[in-house]
Amino acid sequence: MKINKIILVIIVFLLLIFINRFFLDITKNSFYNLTSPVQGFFWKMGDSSTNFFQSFLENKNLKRNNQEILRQNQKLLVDLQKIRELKKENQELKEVLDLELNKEFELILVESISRETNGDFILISGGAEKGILKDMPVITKEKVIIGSIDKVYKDFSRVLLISNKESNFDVQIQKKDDEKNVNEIYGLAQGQGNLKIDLDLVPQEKDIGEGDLVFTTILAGVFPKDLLVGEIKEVKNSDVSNFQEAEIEPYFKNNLSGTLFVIKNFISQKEL
Amino acid sequence: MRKELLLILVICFLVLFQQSFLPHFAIYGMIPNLVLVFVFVLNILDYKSSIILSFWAGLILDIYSEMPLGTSGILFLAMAMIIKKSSKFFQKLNILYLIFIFSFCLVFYNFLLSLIQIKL
Repeated sequence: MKINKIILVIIVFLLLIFINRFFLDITKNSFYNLTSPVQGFFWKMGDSSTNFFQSFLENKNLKRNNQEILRQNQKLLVDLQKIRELKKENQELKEVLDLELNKEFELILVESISRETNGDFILISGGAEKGILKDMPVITKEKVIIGSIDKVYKDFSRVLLISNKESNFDVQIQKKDDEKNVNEIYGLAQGQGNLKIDLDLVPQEKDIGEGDLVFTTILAGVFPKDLLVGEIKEVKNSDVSNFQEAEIEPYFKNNLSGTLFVIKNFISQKEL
Repeated sequence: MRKELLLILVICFLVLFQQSFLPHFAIYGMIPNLVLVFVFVLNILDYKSSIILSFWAGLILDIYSEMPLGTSGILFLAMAMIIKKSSKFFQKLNILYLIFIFSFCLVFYNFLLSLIQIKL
């Protein structure tokens, strides 16, 4: 009886090794195909439930928020006018200098389906069949960076979120009161897990503060430039270190649901 | 056998619920592991096929995670065995024992899983 059990355990182990070695991707893809309608339903239900609870909880601050939004809106309208003027001027300059217009990203539309309990990964609908490849960046429609493709199945892909511990990339910090971005400040964003990102390697002499915006740069070729990462939440100054550290509040946290885009014409040059 | 199939369906439901609904209610980015709680309850109640069901629960969870197939399966199996062995020495429904063994299982599972993740 005991020998039978041992044989059974050995068979199960061998079977697991065999599946992991040769059939893991097919197995996972088949299961995702089978359960994606249920997952999609749960994902949408969860999204609408949080929206409901959030609006209920934030009801108290509604008036104050409204005034703040109105104030920001007026400021944005003024900024928009300035941008229009600058755009026109820029266009004219480009024509004069005969420069090529910026190419827009080639995008693949996908939907997020689920998020893993352990590790910062999400599953998206769309895989090798849609032309998705490993290391392609994933963004929202607001150009907020979500992460990069980690694993591609036939009809689905797994996205490594920028908050994953394995994720690190160069960023540029834009001061909230420095619209012309005179002071160029660069740093390194390092994922900390559980949707947290830390900012590191910012020289001590550079002035960074709460609310400063963080964008991607093309320096190391991990992500295309000017994608929004988030804003600085808290700066941690240390007398011992030559660099400043800060915590970044990632913007993708509120944009994980629904439609996302995979950038087709950019593959990151990660050092592995 | 019919009960076991029903329990496997419940496990499937819990995995999908955990991966697709609960992320919206994450606390500090963390999602509660319902499957682990279910496996714990099955073993505490000393259900007759709890060890095999624990292994199955882990396998199903592995399909929806980035870990190799069998990682959570083996961890849940070990967890089930620890609960079985420890319940011989303590009164099963003693609240202190329940708190201790549940905390132990939670730390045991997450610690080993993190170790495996680092190794991979």
